[in-house]
Amino acid sequence: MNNIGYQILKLPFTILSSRAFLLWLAGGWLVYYVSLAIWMDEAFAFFVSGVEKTSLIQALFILFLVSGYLNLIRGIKVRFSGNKIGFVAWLMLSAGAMLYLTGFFLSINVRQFDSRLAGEGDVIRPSWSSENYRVVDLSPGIKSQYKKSGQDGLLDHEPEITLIDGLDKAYRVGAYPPVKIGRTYFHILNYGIAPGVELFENGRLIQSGYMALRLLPPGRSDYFDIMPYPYRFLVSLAPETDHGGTAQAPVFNLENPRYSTRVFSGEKVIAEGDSGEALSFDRFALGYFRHTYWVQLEAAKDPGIPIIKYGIFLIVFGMPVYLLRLVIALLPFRN
Amino acid sequence: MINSIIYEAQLIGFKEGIKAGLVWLVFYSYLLSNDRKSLAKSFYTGISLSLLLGLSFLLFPESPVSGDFIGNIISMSFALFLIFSGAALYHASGVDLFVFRDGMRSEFVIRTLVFSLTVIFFLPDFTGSAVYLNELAELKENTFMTAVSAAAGIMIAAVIIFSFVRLYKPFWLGSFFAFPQLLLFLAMVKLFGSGIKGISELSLIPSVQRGFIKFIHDLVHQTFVMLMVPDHPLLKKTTWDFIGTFFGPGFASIASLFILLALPALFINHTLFRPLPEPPARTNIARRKTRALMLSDRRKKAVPVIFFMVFIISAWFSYGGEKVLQVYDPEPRPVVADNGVIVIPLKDPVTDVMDGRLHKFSFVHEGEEVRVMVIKKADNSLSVCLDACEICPPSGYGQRDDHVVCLYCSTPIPVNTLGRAGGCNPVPLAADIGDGFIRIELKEIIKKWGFVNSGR
Amino acid sequence: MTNNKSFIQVRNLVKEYKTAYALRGVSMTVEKGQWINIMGPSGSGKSTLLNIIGGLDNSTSGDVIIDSTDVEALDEDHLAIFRREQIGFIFQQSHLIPYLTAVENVMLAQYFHSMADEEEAGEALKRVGLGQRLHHRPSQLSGGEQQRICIARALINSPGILLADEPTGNLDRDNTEIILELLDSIHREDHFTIVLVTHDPFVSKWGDRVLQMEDGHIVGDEFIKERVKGA
Repeated sequence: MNNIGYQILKLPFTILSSRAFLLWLAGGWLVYYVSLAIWMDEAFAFFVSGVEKTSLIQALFILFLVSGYLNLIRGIKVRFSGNKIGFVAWLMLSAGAMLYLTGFFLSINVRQFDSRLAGEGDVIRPSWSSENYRVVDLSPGIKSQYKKSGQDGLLDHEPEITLIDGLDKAYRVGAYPPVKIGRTYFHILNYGIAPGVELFENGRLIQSGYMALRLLPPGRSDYFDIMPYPYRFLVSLAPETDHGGTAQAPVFNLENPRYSTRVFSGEKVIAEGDSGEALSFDRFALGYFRHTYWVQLEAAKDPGIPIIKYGIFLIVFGMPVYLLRLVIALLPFRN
Repeated sequence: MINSIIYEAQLIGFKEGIKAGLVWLVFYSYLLSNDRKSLAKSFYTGISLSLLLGLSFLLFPESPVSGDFIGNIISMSFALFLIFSGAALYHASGVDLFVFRDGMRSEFVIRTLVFSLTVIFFLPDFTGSAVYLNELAELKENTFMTAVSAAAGIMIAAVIIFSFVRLYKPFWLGSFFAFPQLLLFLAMVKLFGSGIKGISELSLIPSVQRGFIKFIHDLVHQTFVMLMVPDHPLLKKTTWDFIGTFFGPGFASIASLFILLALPALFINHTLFRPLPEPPARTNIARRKTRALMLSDRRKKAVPVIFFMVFIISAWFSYGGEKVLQVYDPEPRPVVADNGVIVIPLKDPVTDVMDGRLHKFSFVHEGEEVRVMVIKKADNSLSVCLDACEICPPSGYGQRDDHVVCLYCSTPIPVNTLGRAGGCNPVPLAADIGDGFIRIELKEIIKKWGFVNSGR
Repeated sequence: MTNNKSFIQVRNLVKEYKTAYALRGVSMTVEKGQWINIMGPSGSGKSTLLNIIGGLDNSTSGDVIIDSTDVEALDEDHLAIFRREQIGFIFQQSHLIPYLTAVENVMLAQYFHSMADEEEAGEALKRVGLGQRLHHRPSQLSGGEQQRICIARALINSPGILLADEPTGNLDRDNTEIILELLDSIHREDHFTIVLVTHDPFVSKWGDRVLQMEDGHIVGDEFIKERVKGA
């Protein structure tokens, strides 16, 4: 009886750790994906959304992972005594693939992320974290002059900020790779210029502050509203008039940018002009003062990220060894 | 002229004939070498039924199913044969995939299997060619000569195959194929000869390439998202050039080729590199002879696989060079605003925007070139978008078959999904189409070129 | 069918060259497992007879039947298979490949038969006393050692017949004796048939039987009561 009970207990493991089961799952996925790809345009997006939302796909994915790891363990036992280079190559590739898939699943299903605009002095706290971080330095890396000729880069270096935590420990955070602080990854997702804006009513300053706008690369325009006033301000960077730029390749001064502004009241433009002069409309006037910079900071808590990284690392290094081994096996060609 | 041969129809007939002849030759040889000649009957029944059903589509004045639908079915059948061959290979290598018991090996099951595989193989191809011939007949306004030309093509193929078989009796071919190799062969015949777009696309390779390239691109993109790689405006140009390589069609094309070659490579690994089993033998000589026979059998069965690999690689790059990597990027035609409206004629002596190709129009606004693109979708509606998206610098889009491709970051967007806003999609424009013109409000264009371009 | 009494049957074999006869109607039978020496002066036709038995040469008329197979009737492909399966050759010159090692030379014979097997080839060389010389090239070995490789090579595929044409013609007396003793001991273990051509009366003392040839005829056929060595 005990023996039968043991056999019954063992059965799921026997099935899951069999290559046949793993291959059926892989084959099933292939048929599923190929059908999707043939009949619809965005098959991958559909699949990813299935991994995130459809219980059946999630369950099958987990079964595949479990079966994959059990097969990996079984494979290690079987192959360990064989050719060592072949074994290492196989192990790196298989383990890499399994780690990648595990990270893929985790990242899609358990990633928490948050993003917000921040400037120097702002305090940041991701929704899942109890720790506050302050932006103490923001270095946008933008060139002081930009000639718009299509392929010219906008950056001297990639934008960077410095965050400090509650213990005054400082972290440099750039665009890539994300920096891990505690259990949270931070990186910069976007950046831009925030012009200082002042609104006067009958010559009296009534509002002032920075407006984080997306004006880069020059040529783009963005707008802001100042509540409760019924105006919309459309802003873009204006090219330098005296720096030898042409109509096709205007030159922009990004150190002291000039703004081209149009004021809308509803659909109607009621005023427009460059930042050199005060822009008056109705009883109001709009002025600019020295800009600052903003970044869009993304924070994510995702146990999948390191797993994916290790997976890719193993695949990238395992693949050449694996291929090389095949080539070597081919060279002497004797049995 | 009216009664002369229609060469395109003849080519289609010839292609189907050669395909059927080759498949028959290899399958029949396979049966002979396995002493299962009686199964040929199931094959003949299957191919006859497929031919009859396929030809019946010629009777419809207008095909009840679209060419695209059949194209998809053909792609499915190619994929199935490829997947089946992999499964059969693993099964033959000792992984009991099908849990075949003696009952399952009955003559009836095997006959049904042969019959079904034959129908799955031939029916979509014959139907596809019939639908294409129907369209051709309509175009040439000569149904009779289209049918005669196609029949002539089939006859030429039959004569070639028949003479070849009579002269060389190439039934030794059977010894080069085990069942998995046979399925792989069928998949490869599909890959090389199942296109149904006439001369413009005789093989499936371009559509398979598109599918694979899209998959690789999406996989890379998803991985970048998971690894928190930011969008390129944030990266220095050199960094983006490096990362962008993984997005590019070159990388995707090579990686796709790798994926497609993975299965034949698996065959080679299973047939050539696995250690030979130790045969039970009384003497060294007997053992050595048995092992030599096994080895020679393995090598023989690796030959068609290596042949396919070489074929795939060369075909991949010949298509890759001419079609897949090439992006059609037309010069924008200048337009001007008339009363705040941009007016584009649907057809003029130079251009027909309904011709399925990408058309670009441009005007200068405040010293900056603003571009609009127009392309016909599969449902014959027109898509009108800005030649820019929300993310990339506005380098614009080019056309590659039924995709538009971002010229900056190489993201392919299916033409049929144009009109969606956000992300890598070209920014859609509200346009009034009618009376032979497309009318777009200048205000709409300027607003989107500024507002939407900046990510709102 | 294997018939112990007549493993090799030669019937009325004639070999005619443009100006002369090499064989003028030779008939003989050899039993399975027998070691027969063919003696005679140069030009007596003994090598021609050996070559025709081994399928290396054709006769003008007559039959050679080995183990029920009419060798003369075989086409090129079947003759090659027959030689590969049934016959081992040793010549006066060793004909070893100079840039291959001893074991590789033996493996080459395995390769042309079926497939190479280094372990088995090594065993065969140990059997002829060259266990310490497996990876030496022919130029690093003495004439006697080279001829021992030839024996290993000739016997590696377990042929039914070993044809030896003056196998000790290039060797001194001591080495000749070593080679013949070796051949004798292997023959006693494996019981294959040996047809050996020699003009050296010393060599002809080994074996079971001696045929004398002269001018294309067999002029003597004598059984040796007791081998020089053995028993």
